Amino acid sequence: MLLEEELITRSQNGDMDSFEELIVRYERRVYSIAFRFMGNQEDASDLAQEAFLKAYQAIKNFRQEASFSTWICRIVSNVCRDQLRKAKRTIQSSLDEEVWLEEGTVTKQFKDNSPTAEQVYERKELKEYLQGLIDNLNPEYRMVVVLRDIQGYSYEEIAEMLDCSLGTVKSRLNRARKALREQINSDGHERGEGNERL
Amino acid sequence: MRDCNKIQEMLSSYIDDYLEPTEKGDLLEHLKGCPECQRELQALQEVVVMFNSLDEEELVPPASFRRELRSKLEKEQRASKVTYIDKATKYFSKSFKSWMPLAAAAILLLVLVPVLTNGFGLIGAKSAKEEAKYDSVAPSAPPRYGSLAGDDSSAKMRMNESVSYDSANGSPEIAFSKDAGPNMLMMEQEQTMADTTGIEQKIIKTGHINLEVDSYKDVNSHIKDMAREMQGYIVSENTHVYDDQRKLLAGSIALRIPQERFDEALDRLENMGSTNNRTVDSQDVTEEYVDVDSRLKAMRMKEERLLSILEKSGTLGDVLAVENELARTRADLEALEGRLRYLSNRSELSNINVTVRETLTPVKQIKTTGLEGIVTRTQEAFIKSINSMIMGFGNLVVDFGAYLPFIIITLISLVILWIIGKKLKNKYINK
Repeated sequence: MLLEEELITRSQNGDMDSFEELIVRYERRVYSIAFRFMGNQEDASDLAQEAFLKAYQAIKNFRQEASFSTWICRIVSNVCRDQLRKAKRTIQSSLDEEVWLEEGTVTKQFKDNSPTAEQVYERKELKEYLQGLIDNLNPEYRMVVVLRDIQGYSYEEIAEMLDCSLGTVKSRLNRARKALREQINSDGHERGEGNERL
Repeated sequence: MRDCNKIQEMLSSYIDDYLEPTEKGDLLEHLKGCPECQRELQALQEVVVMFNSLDEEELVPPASFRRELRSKLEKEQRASKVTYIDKATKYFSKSFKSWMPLAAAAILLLVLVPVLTNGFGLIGAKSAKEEAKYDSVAPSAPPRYGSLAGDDSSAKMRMNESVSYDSANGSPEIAFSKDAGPNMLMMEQEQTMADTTGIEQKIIKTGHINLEVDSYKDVNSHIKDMAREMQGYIVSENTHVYDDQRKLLAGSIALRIPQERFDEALDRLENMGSTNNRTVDSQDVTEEYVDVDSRLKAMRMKEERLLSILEKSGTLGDVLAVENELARTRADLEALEGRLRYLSNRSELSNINVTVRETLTPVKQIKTTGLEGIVTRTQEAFIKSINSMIMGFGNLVVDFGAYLPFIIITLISLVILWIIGKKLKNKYINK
């Protein structure tokens, strides 16, 4: 196993195999960020690839004083954010998906993949449910929740990735979590469940 | 006790242990006495735990991920390994769209400008063209006529310049005719050269000017005053009544004016009335002057020699012969001196002939002369316009023919450029 610095240096000299080694190391993380961010496999795969491609194009400018992990996460975050902006401008396909929801009572604010209350707490369903919650957050909140609560990055790292201050990270995370909590709470009420079961 | 809102803002950071110790103390203090904030904290913690529990192990890129990425990377690498030629082609095809209209405009300009400047021979274009030509030679400065009429002593030169005023359109048409000598600029140069070499220019200038004035008598006295003032004189004067009915006077005055003030005099005369004709004639007599002068010198030497011979000679026959020769020589000498005087006088004082005519716009009676031949004049004007249109069209066709080769070449090159550009573009895109 080569050291990461070694791989980066080689990649900077145009060694594609070394870069591929880096991809192998980071693809899961990059992919999972993209997945959490976009909420589906196709977009996640495309954007993760795009992020690596961008990283490859820009690796000559990469300075070793920053960590590669942070750097690549930052790239994938930006790629995803750009993609979301684009998607906002066109009409998101997920809007169509909501139409088939049979229950008129379901608020349109979120994509609900868990039709019945009992299933919400089943393991598999829970995951989908949580992903749905993330998908309904605005991109800024989505980013901090994904990076902090799912990926477990430190506030400092997140600040660097998102190119903002520590205070911004804190307040965004606070608001994002609050929004999530409120959403879960109201979902629980709608299904006639007490939020103490959460 | 702190405000619940503020505390709740800190809860998220508290969960991640990102609070300052003092803040943490405050928060814990508050939580002890606030069940609502406790519930809130608990709920948030549950959210965080829930998201933490998301099993990332299951999230694996699809099987094709690496393969696809590899091919994308390879493609990227090829694109980044561009040679200078590739870069140039890239630039060419990229900027093709932006410089294409520019090139087209330039070529169009190249074709159009000569066409336009040559003119399509439409009404009046031809005369304008000729006027322009003269304008560039003599930049419309009457005061400079005199200085134009210089030449070096060896070149015999005669120059005519006349200004005639077309009463119809009021714009003067200036026409020059020159018999000898290269262009004006050179003449001026040569003149200054001649001046510096010490040979005095002898130029006889004659000006003619036709004036139409309101009051003959006034102008007549003005002209005389002017001649006096300029240290010239009136050579001749003649006045007559040309319109008995209205008692209108006309006449001609011949003036001699010092040459250096010739142009000034002409300009002043011109301002005295409306001028319908002005002619300046210059004759360079330097050559003749020099010639006469040298012959005179030779004659004087001959005279001196004859006189010395006369003193030495003994026989009466000899004396008589010498006396005869001396008399002939002296006669020649006188004639030459006379000619020389004439030449210098002529060149020192220029001649100006002024023709003055009194005009009076008819005010006391209605005259229909203005309508005379109105039909024929209209006809003529109409035919004239038609003819100029036909001529203009003819010129247009001829000009088009003349420019056809250029137009064809331009079109062909444009098409070629377009095709090349398109091909390069396609090549670049397909890459």
